[in-house]
Amino acid sequence: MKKRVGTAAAGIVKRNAIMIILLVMMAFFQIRNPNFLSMSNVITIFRQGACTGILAVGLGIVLVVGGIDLSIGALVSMTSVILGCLTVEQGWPVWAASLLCIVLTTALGLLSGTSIFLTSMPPLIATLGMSNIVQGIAYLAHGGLPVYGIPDSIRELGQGAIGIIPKSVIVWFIMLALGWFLLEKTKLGRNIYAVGSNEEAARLSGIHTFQIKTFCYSICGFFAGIAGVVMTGRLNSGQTTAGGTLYIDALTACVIGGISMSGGEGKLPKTIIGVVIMTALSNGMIAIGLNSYVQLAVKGSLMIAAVGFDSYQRLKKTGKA
Amino acid sequence: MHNILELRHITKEFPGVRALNDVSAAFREGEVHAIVGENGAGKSTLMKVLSGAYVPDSGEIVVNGTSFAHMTPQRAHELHIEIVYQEFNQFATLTVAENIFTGDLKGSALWIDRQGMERETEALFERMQVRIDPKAYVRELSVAEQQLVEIGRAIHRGAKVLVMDEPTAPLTVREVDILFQLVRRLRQEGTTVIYISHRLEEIFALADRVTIMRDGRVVDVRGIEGLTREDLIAGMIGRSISDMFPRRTVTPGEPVFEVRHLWGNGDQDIHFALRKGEILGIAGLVGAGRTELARLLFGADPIEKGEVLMEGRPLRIRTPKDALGAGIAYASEDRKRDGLFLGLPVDRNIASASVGRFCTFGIVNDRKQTAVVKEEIEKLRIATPSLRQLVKNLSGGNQQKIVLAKWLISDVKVVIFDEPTRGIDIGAKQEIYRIMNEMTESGISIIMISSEMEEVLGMSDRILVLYEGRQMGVLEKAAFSQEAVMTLASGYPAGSEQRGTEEMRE
Repeated sequence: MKKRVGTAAAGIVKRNAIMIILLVMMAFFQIRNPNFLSMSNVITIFRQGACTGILAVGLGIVLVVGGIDLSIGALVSMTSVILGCLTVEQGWPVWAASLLCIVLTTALGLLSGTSIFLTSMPPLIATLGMSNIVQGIAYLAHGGLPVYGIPDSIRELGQGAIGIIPKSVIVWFIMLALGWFLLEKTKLGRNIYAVGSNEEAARLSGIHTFQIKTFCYSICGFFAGIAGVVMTGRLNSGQTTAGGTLYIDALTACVIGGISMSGGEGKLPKTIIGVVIMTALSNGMIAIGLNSYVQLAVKGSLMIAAVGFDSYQRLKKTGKA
Repeated sequence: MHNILELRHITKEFPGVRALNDVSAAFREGEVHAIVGENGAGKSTLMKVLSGAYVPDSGEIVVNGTSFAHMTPQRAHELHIEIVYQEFNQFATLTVAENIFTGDLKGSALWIDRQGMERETEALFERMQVRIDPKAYVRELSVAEQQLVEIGRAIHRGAKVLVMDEPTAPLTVREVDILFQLVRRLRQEGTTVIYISHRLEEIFALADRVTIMRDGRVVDVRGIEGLTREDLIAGMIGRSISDMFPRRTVTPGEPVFEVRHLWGNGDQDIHFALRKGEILGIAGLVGAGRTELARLLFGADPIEKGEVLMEGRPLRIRTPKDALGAGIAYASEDRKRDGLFLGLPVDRNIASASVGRFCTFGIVNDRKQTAVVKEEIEKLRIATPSLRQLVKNLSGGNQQKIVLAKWLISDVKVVIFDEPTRGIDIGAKQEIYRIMNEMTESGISIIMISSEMEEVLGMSDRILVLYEGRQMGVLEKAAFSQEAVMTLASGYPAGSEQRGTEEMRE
């Protein structure tokens, strides 16, 4: 009888593990910092999370198709620098510069996807390599220096608000809605789930797996480009390290949100919870004075914990069958 | 002769299935003891209980008088119970000798006595009277040789009880011969061989006693003397064959799908015409090129030369998409690997090959999809709590029906079934047969690859037999017999039944 109560409790904990983590974390930070749950700080958390959230939409799609993309952080950095250079130094109009950046990141995604499919190399390595190439370009584009004097319209996108709702958050939710519609409501989305769930069965069902997979990497690049523009606005400058380790946040957010690392499973809207957890964690750690190195270590640990938990669940399930 | 190994009242349940139901069996020292039964009768589960892969829910296992509640792989090894699985547990990138010595490599921690191992392996093979180079890499061996290595490993480990699971499935007639001699020699040396098979000829050729299983129970234990084929079949199926298969109601019409002198994927010069509403059975041993043919026709592997025609028009099939476009579908033998999206719900699985049907401008109309899927679920009597249930939670029979449903709604003309009833229980099998019959009634033609003789004979209108990639002949219904099929499948031309059967028995 005691055992049964124990397993029932364990079941509740397991099903709601994410919410429990979130609540415990909030409670902890709230005790240490009474301002943590104030309206203005909550809005700040969402604003800080917007870029991660936009990245998580693209990464989520790649994860559903059974891949992974580690280059998204570097893509944000590259977008930031190039957008800065083009608008400040070359005098390009904002829309044209933004468009070019997004086209570029989309093309790089397409390149990753194509090389992964053609060689069937592990996507982890392919996109890790791509990440280094792109980060290199970000440094080269402006000699490793930041670009200041970004046009106001970009800054507005990153820092401004409509009423109390930050514009960056609006962009995030629009992108999320786009991603959700794509995955849930279109033929393309159905095929993405099918390929991620069982690539061979998808191929034998007449689905063009090459098109589907490269599309996913491309759209992931597209969202990284958007995130890069928003990030440039938030930083009010073109920074070579704008993206930095954002891929850790985005990946952890996706996995916490229930998107499986092994593909074919998960819903994009749930990444919101993951993004909020990751951002609240950063925000809270800064508020209680932990430096960025500690933050990095904590986030890395959380990523391992989330992905490890996901894999372990899978192991147990297949072990039973 | 005393019982070296006894199973007493073993029961093992899986969600929804009682795989073993109060099974008791006793194995004597130095006998070849066959366990026969249909797919799903519980043979493999029983073997896994013996190997320690499964822990039974109740019952005991008695080895040489000592009782155990269950085995573990370690304990089985210590008690010299060795198992040769259908899928070999081998290290393809290591040599034969290293495979034989897996787990107890000769030598010290730093230094491996390679030559010593090779010498001993050679001695072992001499005793077995087989010729395999101990230095060869296992990946370079044929399936038959790999199996001999597997048996060699078991002997090397001092097997007193050797369990073999469908050992002849991948072998040619000559290789079967070598295996039989080896098994007889082992028996002489006092080894107990537990021989799992559903090929009845082999049982008469080898076994001393037979345990017949059906639906997770032991139905009968018999000595081989006085036992007839009919006894065995009646015991295994629990009814006569004629009740098992629905009456074919369709008279095949005009040819719809023609294959002319097709080469590729190891298959040579395949030539046949499939008629409307016909079921063409494809028989042959494992490795005869049956699945290879299916993959060719479906565009999963490239065609080298030859022509494929649908309703008189030549087709260009290079990808599965081309094949589907032409109205050809393929339900693979490994439905979990090639046919199903286990992590996705029932409706998505059924709609997966025809999403376009439910779309306007690329946007899926869920209501339209649900209506069609629901209708199909009712028609095929798929037992699922809801459309949103994940397919991995369904039984094998229902999973197979989902594969059928997937093709049924995708507007096909020809369906290639590869082992359509593998791993599903008898009740579900009959339903699959019924559905296949209904498919042909609605004008679909079927190519059915099957290793189950009864199934091929019971369901086909004609049977095409392959041997090592070559088409040995097409049997008309009047010429159907197990012997005729086996003769062709063993590489003998039609009309040489006598010789073929003799060869099979000795």
